[in-house]
Amino acid sequence: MHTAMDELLKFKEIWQIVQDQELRVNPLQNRVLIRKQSNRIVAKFRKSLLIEVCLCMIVLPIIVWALIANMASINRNFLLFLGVLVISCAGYYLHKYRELGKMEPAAGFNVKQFLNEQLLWMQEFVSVYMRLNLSVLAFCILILMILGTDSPLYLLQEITGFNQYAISLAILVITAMITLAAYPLLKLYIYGMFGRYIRQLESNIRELEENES
Amino acid sequence: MTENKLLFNEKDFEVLLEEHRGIIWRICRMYHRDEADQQDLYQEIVLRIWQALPGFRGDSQLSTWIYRVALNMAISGFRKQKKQLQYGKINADALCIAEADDEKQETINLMYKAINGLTDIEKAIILLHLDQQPNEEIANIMGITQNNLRVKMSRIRERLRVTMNAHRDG
Repeated sequence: MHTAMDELLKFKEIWQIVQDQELRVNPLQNRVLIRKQSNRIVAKFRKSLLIEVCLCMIVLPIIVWALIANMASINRNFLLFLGVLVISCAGYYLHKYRELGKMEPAAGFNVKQFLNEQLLWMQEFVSVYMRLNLSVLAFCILILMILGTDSPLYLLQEITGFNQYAISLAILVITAMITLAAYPLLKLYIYGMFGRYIRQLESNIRELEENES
Repeated sequence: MTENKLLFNEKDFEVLLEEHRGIIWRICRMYHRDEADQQDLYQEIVLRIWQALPGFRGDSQLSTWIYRVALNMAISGFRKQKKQLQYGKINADALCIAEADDEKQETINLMYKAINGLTDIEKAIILLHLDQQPNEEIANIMGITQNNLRVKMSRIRERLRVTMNAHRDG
């Protein structure tokens, strides 16, 4: 029966052989490598955030602009307000995207510190991603409601004499209610996407902190 | 050659990489069995070292810093599911050596099989240990106390022994 120490000594011997088997890398290949874009999971997450922010910045204002030009029942100032809101939101998330870039942990931290910082980064990222998706969802619901109810609302205004501001307010309240109702589903969806990575980080940190007094 | 010169000169960076390439490859092999995955991780580590080099303050040895960067990239990389060890795919180059010595080859395969059963953190510790890093340095790279390291090392040794004995008995 081998002892644990014997095994480790044997491993060390074998390790020396493995060390001699290093692959040869063409120096030119290294130059190519340092010019490539990072394929890290964190870089991918950030990229998907940027894509969503750009969609929010370009697509949504265009839709809002189209609405301003065509809607009969909705107050033009209200739509203009929405347009400004969309652009402000996009600016805010772009700022958050940049902040996330600065928040990335330094690669030279020790492993425990790096994992802790990475976990904090992920939590902030998920929080920003959640807020962004919630905002986009709210805007989409709002736009769909305006598009779908334009004619009925116009008739309602004619019949009841409600002014456009009251109707705009009602639309905002209904949108907020639907968005709130969709929040748990969105949360489930987003944690489904990123939860495994967060759990992996947490588990590694827990393991490192075991036996620390 | 001063550290600062390394920051801005690709040629010096190549020299640096050549000197420490072994560390990076061993880490890539430790964490990935598939050759394509090893290459991907190698690329990420090289890129990260290049990007992070301006932040290297020289308060530790360069090799220690490279161990940190490489292990951080390896451990924090997301794997959807842990791949089972495939004997046929383990280190094609290791197999070349084995042709000369079947017993040695068997032990190399077994070593990787045993290591593959360890957690990511345990893999980092055993790699540093096998690379002859002193305990103080391992604790420093991992960010844990030396007592904690001793406990972990003894657990790793025991796990490796159980795996190896199980193989011999089976």
